[in-house]
Amino acid sequence: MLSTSIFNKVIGKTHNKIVGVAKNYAVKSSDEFYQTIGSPFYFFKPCSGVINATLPHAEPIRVDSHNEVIPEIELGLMISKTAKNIKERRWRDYIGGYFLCLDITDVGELEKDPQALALCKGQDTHTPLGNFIHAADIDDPHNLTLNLEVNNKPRISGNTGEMIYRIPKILSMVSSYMTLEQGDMILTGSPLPPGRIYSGDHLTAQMFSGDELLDEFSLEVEES
Amino acid sequence: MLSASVFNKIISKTHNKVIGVAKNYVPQTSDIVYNRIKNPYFFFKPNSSILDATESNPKPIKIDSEGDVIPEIELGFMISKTGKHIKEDEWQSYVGGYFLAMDITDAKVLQKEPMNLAFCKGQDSFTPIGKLLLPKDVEDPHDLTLKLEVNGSPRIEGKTGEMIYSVSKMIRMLSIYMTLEQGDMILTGSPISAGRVKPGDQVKAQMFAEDDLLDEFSLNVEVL
Repeated sequence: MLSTSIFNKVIGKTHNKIVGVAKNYAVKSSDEFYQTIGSPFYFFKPCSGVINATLPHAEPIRVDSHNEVIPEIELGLMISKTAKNIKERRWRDYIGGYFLCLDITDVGELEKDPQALALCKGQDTHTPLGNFIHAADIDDPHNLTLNLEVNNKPRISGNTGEMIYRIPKILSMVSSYMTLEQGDMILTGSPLPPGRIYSGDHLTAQMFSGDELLDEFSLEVEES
Repeated sequence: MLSASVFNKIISKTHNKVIGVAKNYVPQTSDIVYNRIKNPYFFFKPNSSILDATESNPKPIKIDSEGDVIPEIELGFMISKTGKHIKEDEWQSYVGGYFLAMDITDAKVLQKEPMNLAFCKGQDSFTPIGKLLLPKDVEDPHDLTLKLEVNGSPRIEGKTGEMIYSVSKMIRMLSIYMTLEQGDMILTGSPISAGRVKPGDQVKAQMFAEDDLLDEFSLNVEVL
């Protein structure tokens, strides 16, 4: 029957995951929310939340009319080969490429329950992804600049060198607990402070290596 | 190049998700872990954590030698058609089947890092899943008995009627925020108290509709 074959496909095939890390950049701000978190910790974002931000008419980020969301800008990476217990010094062997992305968090849900990360971070349109950049084209992923503008004003400007857990450590930590599969993505956290965005706002996200613009995308924020 | 096409597949294809709900049974208990949680809340489990419990020689639940885990037994259901903003009274047309499942949680990580549900619950083998039961074979998912035995002794016995959020409510709550896709699985929570299991233990999970045994599986708990 249809349902049984769907079930067997879910059990039997790879369904990639997106892993995020919270508080992976030092707290320089007075943002109360960030002050409450201790060490960096990990969470999942569902693939159903992905927007392809490279499309000429990309979908907008959708927010509830009376809600505000947190717009975090992040360096993402994609796993090139399936592995468990990745050794830190072999980190480059497991990365197929990088991408610029956003991790959007619903503040209303977060205030109701800070543990309820599935609803806070798992909503449709809340994981915009940029272009795929081959690993060979990025010399040093720990020396990239991430810029976020909201309504044409600078909001975040940070360098990936400020990460608390760097990429080799992230790969080693995550893969010590779970198999990372080819195609899995890891979002490495956001510089601060992102502030808030609302329906009607316009965002531009950029990633630079030195003066070289590696990728850029713009998105609207609209009501659900 | 391989990596770019893998990236494109991630962006454009469905990658199913597994959603769990914490504390969906019993508001008050003497178990410290459960009392820390106020309302039921949702989280994701990665598909890489699925253990096919229907195999004739199923793989074991694998845990750190120094740790123990919380063995929760749950009713799961699979989404039969993709939908968003699903009305509560439409729930049955979105359920493709039910299954007996377990949600394993690493007690050591949970105590050290209660926010880090990805590591607590997302480890390989931490989502054992039984066979798919078609809706026509499960008259009332809210009138099933879940039983867990550890090393031959009864550990948990509960009825799915005790759920705080019903199946229809969960579908409604989740689908307001995120598209539920055909093949997505939702675990509906566990009766308490699960206690702990460690390497060397054997667990047996059973699901009954009255005296009718719908499914059962046994798993060993072993060291990683």
